[in-house]
Amino acid sequence: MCRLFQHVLLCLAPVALTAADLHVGSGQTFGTVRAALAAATAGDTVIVHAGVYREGSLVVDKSVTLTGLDRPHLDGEGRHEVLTIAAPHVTVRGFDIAHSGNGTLTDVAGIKIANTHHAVIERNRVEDCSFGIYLSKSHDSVIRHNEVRGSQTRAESNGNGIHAWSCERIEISDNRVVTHRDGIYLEFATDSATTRNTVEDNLRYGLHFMFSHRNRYRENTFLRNGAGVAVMYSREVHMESNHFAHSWGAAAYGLLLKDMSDSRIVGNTFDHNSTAVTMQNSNRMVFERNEFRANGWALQVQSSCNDNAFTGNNFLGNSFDLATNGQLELNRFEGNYWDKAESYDLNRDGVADTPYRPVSLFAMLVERMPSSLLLLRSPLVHFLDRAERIIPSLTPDRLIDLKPAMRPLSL
Amino acid sequence: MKRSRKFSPATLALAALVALAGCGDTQPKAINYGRDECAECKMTLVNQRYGAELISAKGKVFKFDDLNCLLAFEKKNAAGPAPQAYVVDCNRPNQFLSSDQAILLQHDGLRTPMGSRFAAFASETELETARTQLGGAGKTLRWPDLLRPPSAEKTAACTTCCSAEKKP
Repeated sequence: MCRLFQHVLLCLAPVALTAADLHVGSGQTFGTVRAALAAATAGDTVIVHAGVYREGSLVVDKSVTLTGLDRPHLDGEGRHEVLTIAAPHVTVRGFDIAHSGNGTLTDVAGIKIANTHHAVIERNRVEDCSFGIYLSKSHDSVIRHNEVRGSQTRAESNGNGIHAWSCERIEISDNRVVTHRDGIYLEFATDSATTRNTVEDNLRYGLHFMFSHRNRYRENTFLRNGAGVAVMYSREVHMESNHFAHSWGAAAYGLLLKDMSDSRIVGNTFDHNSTAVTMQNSNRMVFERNEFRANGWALQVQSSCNDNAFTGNNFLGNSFDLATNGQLELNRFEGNYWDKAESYDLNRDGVADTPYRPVSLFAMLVERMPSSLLLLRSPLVHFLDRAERIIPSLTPDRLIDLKPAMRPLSL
Repeated sequence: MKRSRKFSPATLALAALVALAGCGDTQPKAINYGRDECAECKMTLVNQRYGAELISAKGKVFKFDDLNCLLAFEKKNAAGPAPQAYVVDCNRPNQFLSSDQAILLQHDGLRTPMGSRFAAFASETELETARTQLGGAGKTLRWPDLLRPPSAEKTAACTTCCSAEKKP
């Protein structure tokens, strides 16, 4: 046993001997971060004390830990990419990073992690940068507990808050991203997790997936983003327990699904969106235990969608539960609670004794003639919808929930 | 005699002018970035360096966020008279280049909204400046190169589906 300890100690000894703390700040060993980085060797910790550091573009090309004490401020003065990480196993923690330059053809960021791996970016504040935190061809990295705030005066050069391009196994968690172009953007990012982030007031999408397969995102909150959340051209994306709210506008959606397949949407809440979920050309998607509350449209499903299942969801107080431009006969609706269903339950098994057709006649009409939306709440429309429910003639006859729940489901 | 005077040449010319003005307008329309939606991929247009428009023979305008969206849309809606195509000048926000004016650079460093990696320029010099900024290399193309069948020019005519599969 004692010998084993000796071995362990011997193994640790070289690391302990070489890893040094390099202090940066006024009255410290190093006056600038650049000087400390030049002197550092792999495994060292550069401790930056409070103060404002205007050092242009800093490049971290050694495997070091950069720690900020009392939030030192690294400033790009509107001209530089503030911090570029080009070595593996770099940690950046506790900094205020602000005022990056604008990219012309290339993207400029507050913190860029390029062509490396195992970077950890945590507890930083990134403000008024073109792109906030930017990963490019970097795998196994973690972005957590950061606050990323874009500048609305940057207009077209305001990029994405957290941006990952061509990365594997990235963890993006507990960040807050506001007023960027897209809050969190993943393109060609696979096997990654996006968890417990708060993403608000971004110009376009709160979260945007492009060509990004096998990802999970859960427990995120997306509020008031210009067009909501877009998950596109991807497969096997698991979306669970997220909150999509207040996406209002003609082209705004809680969740836009386009060219998606084999994904699960489970336990999410959609409330107060013009359209909660819109789906185009998406197949084999499973919607379970979601709540759709007070949206204009709960679901807009295009005829190009097949083999999707909607089971055990709650539909409460939406103007329209479902709109479609086709028949949707290859999709399954079962065991959902629809507050518009009026039925009875003689055998008291909790399942309504009459089926429910989620597409109303008026929803069909609005789909073909958007201007007829003017007649929403008109007594005539109400009458026609009722008549259609009793004797369906125009609504898709096989689009039907045969076992609607009598009471809202506890999700 | 009186009847023929009713249709004087001036009236006819005016009528013709009105008729032409009604249907012959194929000028591109300004893109409202942050609001307009791509006719193909449905994404909101935000990046002012990229974008394209198709204007149908009847004057209907379709806006796109990236060149491959325009090409995919054109392919799907090939019936009828050919529409006029325009691309956004990479160096001048909201100015358009007609498809025969535009010189295209395809470069891996160009992060276009739908991954086509195409940017359009008004002149060779502007294109070369951009190429230098991006660190050289890349490919210069003209519009007809895009319309070649995929087998002959796979990367150029790449539609959204195959760029999705091709990981950079």
